[in-house]
Amino acid sequence: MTSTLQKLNEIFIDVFDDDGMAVTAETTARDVDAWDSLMHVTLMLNVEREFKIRFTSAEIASLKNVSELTALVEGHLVQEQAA
Amino acid sequence: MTATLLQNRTNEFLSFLGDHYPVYAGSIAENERRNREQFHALAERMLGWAETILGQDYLRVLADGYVTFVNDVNRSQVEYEERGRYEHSSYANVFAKTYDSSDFMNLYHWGVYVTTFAWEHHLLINQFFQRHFLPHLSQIQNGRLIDLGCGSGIWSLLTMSQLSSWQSTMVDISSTTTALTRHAVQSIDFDDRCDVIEADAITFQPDSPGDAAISCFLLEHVETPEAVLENLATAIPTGGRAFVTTALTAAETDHIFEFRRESEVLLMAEAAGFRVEASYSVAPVAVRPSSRFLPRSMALVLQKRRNEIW
Repeated sequence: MTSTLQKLNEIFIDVFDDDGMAVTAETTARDVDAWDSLMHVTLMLNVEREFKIRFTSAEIASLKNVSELTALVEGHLVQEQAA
Repeated sequence: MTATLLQNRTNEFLSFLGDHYPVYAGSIAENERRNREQFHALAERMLGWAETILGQDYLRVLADGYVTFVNDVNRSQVEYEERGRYEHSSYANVFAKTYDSSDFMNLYHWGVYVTTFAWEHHLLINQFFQRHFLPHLSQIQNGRLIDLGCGSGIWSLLTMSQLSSWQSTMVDISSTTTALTRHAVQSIDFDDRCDVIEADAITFQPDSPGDAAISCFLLEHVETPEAVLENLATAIPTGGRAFVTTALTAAETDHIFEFRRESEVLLMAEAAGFRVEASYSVAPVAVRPSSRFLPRSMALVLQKRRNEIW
């Protein structure tokens, strides 16, 4: 079974167009040169589409690292299942 | 001493954004490096006002508003690239969830405020305003400015801070915005020179004509921008100056009129009775080459014509 982090890594590879990319839970925007505000939103839109969820602007703005993104995605998925 | 304190506000804001929202700090830092003198002059003034208006939590309020606004703009632009048109074309569709929503407008208000100095293309539009519009006003004593769609009021406030004999009548349709802007002008002691009125910019009629008029980043928010320009023309005497800014192929939640080319704005201004004295169009530095649309800000210095020619 593919983990959330593995799926996220595939999205990162696609968005940043870098086949060698390997994000970890600790990866932050400072670790990726091209990760600016426009790429951040593009990344979030791709995550939303992959997982069929929708983030708020506050959620998108508050993320500090990939670990928080993973937790946010999994939290939304739990909410979706409960609904 | 004062200069040092103000300088610290700018640096504090950049540090705060870098610490809390690093993804959003890079482009502002580049803008600061490329336009250091103008950036600091404008940022210091505006951050000083914001601290007076908002109190000690001003950095948090400004940063939260800015990142929320940038997220909304970037999401809208990405979706616009895919859709090929703005999400909404009806004012009724956006009114309830934007201008009539205090939650939305509280963040939006300060987000737009910060873009005035934080976005390089907005900083350059402001420079155009300072160089090509305000000198006309400085030749008039005790003048009155009509500001249609004032938003945070920043364009009036900057005018008032540089032209001490002028007054401004500031109009906005949002009750949240007018309340915030009224509080702002009181906080920074401009309330004896600035009158903030909740009204529709298309239908608002001042008691008497102003000496000059402005409408900054309003045209793209209405279904009939030509009506705003026509009302702007009625607000000033023949020969009077107006300053107008708008956005072209730049999506936001509440942008409903899609200008695609600069000539569309110029022709609309001429049809409303103006002669275009100067115009300036500028895009953000960081736009992907693959983008179909180039988001731009455009500014016009206009003179109300006396006849068909001039």
